[in-house]
Amino acid sequence: MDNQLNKLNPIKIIYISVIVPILAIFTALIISSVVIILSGSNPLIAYSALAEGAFGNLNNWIETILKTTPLIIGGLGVALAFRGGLFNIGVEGQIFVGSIATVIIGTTLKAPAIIHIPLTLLAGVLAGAVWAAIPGYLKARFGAHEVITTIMTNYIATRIITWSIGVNGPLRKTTSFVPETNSLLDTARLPLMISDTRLHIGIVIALILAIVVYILLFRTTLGIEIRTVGLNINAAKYCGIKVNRNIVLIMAISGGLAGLAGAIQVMGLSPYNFTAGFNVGYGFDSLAVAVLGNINPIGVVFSAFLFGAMDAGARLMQLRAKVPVDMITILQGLILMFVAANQIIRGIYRIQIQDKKADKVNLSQGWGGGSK
Amino acid sequence: MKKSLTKLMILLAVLPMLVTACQPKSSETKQPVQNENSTTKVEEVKECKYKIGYVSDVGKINDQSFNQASWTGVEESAKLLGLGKDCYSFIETTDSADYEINIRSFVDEGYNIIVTSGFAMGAITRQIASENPEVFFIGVGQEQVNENFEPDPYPNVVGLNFREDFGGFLVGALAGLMTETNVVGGVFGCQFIPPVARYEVGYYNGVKFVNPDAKVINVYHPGSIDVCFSDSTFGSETAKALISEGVDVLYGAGGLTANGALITACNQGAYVLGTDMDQFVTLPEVKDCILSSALKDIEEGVVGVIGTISDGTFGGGDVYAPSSLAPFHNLDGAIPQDAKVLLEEIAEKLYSGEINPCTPFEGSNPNTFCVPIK
Amino acid sequence: MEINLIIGLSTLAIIKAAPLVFGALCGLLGERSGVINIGIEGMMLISAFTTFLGSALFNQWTGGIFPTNLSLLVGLFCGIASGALIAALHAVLSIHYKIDQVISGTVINLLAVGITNYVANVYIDPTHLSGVGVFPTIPIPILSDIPIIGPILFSHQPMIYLMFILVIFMQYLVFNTPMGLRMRSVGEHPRSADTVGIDVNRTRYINVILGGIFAGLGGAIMVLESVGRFQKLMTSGRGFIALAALIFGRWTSNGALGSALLFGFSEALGVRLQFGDLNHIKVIVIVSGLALLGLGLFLLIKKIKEKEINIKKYITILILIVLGFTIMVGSNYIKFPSISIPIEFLGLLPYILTIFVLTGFVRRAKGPAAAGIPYEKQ
Repeated sequence: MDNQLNKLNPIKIIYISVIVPILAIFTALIISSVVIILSGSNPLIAYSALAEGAFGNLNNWIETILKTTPLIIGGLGVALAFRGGLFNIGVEGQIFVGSIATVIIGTTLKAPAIIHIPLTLLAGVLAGAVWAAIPGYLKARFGAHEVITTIMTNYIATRIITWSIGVNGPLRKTTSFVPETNSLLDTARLPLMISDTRLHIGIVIALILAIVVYILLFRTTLGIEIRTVGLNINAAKYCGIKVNRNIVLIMAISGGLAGLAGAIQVMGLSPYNFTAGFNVGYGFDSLAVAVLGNINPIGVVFSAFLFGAMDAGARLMQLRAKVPVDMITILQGLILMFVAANQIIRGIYRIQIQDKKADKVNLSQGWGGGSK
Repeated sequence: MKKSLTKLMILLAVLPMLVTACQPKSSETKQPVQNENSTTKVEEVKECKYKIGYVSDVGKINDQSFNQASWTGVEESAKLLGLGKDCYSFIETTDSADYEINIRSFVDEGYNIIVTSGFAMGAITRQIASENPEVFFIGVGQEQVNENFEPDPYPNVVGLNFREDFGGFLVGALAGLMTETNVVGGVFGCQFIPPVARYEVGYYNGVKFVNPDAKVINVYHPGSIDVCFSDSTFGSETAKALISEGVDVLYGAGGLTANGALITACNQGAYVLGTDMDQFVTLPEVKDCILSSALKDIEEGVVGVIGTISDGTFGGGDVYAPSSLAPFHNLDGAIPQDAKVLLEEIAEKLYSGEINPCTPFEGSNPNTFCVPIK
Repeated sequence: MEINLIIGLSTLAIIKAAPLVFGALCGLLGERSGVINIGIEGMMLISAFTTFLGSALFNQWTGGIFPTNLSLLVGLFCGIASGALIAALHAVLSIHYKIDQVISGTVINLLAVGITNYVANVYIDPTHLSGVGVFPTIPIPILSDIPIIGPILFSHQPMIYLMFILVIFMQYLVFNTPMGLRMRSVGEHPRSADTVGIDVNRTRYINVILGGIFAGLGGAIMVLESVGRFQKLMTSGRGFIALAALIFGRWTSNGALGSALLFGFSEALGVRLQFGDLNHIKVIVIVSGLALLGLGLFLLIKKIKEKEINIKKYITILILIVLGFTIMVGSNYIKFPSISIPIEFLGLLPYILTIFVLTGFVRRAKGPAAAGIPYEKQ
């Protein structure tokens, strides 16, 4: 990926990859502060609370990390699909399916933790992968557009799962007023990194995965194939790449990552079960994280961290400044806009460096005629 | 670049000054109440007698219904206790995985009265309460029971509970009495949320109690939690379908979904019945056709319990606040006197236990959670 | 009874389809000229929001001296204008700044949810701002008296008629006019379009902004003909379903209408089955029969049009039609067990149906070739 970027001198790289995003965030904060002022609150109190809520003490750091974890994994899933020219808008459903599979294995299987934990994680991964492979197969075999099929599978997944934990649903915990499943057995819960906190080892898994996906995409033959399919499907065919097999595979890996995100949420967070209202919205946040990270695995880590920190800090922002949590969504939208359209930022701050079209992948490559 | 950066820095520094400068002016003209708060703020900012925190369930604070009622209760209490603006605050829960950390944030910030809204937070509220005995907790819609559903009160937690089936039964009876086409309907939020199901069962049985021949058509939103309370368009479209089936009294229970149904039914000339709050007040669009609301007096309930804290009579356990009918407001004249008498009789029989609003009936959803709470 | 049922279902299907159709038309204009729009959801949400604010504030400021419908028209204008405005943002970001169209759409979705929720929280809800009402139903004289078709098609609120007119108009515009030809060539082969003197980016700007007007209508119809006020997150994913309808309808106006009606019909069925007077199993069997029958007829017409001569294909189609017909007629003679299906599943039918139809029978969906790719002059 860095071929073009490497040609710039290091200072310019820092400018483009560090200074510009920081200025983008800064500008977004300024604009949002106008909104906060108009609603009668003080932006300085709001932002300092936001920062403290995200990084103020160990517990807040932990919350930020916990929020970041699923976003990294989900974002990797979306990014990988984009690299392969596929628009996986079904991450939400895949997270749900992964969570439910995790619950099934984690509550029923009896095994020592050393076996149970990997098996439970695997259940989430496989469920997500299979669920996402369906649209992949439909596209490869019949040319069904993945945007429709993943939207449809989203609805199917959420409705079936809602039913399964609802009144008389098969997974409903019988001794509860709440629509929830049973909690996972102790042996299926992720170990904590620091005892007596909520910090589980999910973040380690997420970071390792980011590196794995990076290597997969940029250092393996499969990665080259995936990216070739993503860049130009006809060229890929011409090169003898099995495009259809790749499409199914890409969707399966993407969905497997999403399923894993769900699994980690269930296995890592008390009360270790699936409730209505659990994991809602991570699917679309993952999309935003992936595109903000320029669909680069390493970029995804940073953008997930940024989103996670804002989500975590939102608690104190509401509590101290009484600014509604929706402010965070506005901020995220603005940041995404300024980072993507960094010409605006460079215009405002008169940054002279030309942006070499570094690592520019067209996200919607497979949308129109580019698809088969 | 440097120049404009400094400009922006200055701007950022000036903005808050502008805020403070503008603040009193704008609040003076618009909202005198707020002004009062901001003047007292200065004195009370450091010494809050109580600090009240409110954690909403997944969903919005201003849902004109469940969550909003609790929050309004908190605001009212703060006013009654003379607390400054900085002595009470809220956190909106966006993901059920955050219940614990949201409640703990208030504990960490030194809040000593924490209101949590919704049965889903029952277990975690009790857990945190047992760890923080010096903090008072009020759980709206949370029964104080242990894992085996046996009563298990904690001294610092009050569960503020409601018999939604009573309220549903009463509005059902009213609907049964008021219908001319003998077809009444209801639009509901999520079926899997017990209070909603209790409203529905109560409503159905209420209609049948006074008017066994009436046809009741109840429709739930089939979606998951992220849409079933907020899909007002669905509610509206469903209301249109119900009205074309001949429904002339429509009940709505389920946040914004139900609001959409109520407004549409009202626009099409049907009578409507609201839920949770007195929706004559919260949903001004329907004020000319709303007969009443199944009032779950969360607001009063919260104010009442917080009151017991300040006068030292707070005792843990369950409080069952009444679930009753809201005033008839504009349509008071349209409701026959004998209907009003009958409704009062029914209310008495409900409270005395003579009528069980939860009796399952043919074709009802087999919702065991209607079975109330002692 | 059954006639009433069909009328009721079809009417509800049309009402439910309307926002989807407007959303899909927004996508159609953009994508035909090569600009993907996944921000339809956000555009509709913002427009619903401004429609409500426009009508309610106009009514409040003028003290209600004007008739309701005028306030509603003011709202409609605000909705359309804001739709166009937010589309202009999409256009500037994706055409001028050449940022990826998917990113630009995501930005719009995020901003829309954030801004509308925020303002609703700090302004609309605390002030109890009230909606003004909705457009009345206007039955079309004479036509509305036709049995069955009359009540289904000609007894609606005004924006539904507008929807039908716009669908027909758009179908004509895109496929039968020079302007349509220009926009399609920009969407398919921008380079060649450029060489024959078509200003690619100008065409795209115009299309995206016009599309914003449609999204504005889609947001406005929810406020002006359904709910009567803005409610948080009231689009509830309809923008994405609209996108699916567009692709499912193969980037044509008529196709989008057809698929939106399919979604609408199945959603309507999901609601109708909750009324409790129908045997769930029976209805689902009948609907499956109907689907087979409809599919058979659809393919038959298509094959005849294509002058297909392979007899085997006609036999397959014939089997479909006969099968569908047999199921429909036969279901009247079978006693079905009265099992009530959980409500979550009742509404699932459209989604499963879509996947089946997509896989088996509709050929490969092929969008405009240049969709998603910013155009750079050489």
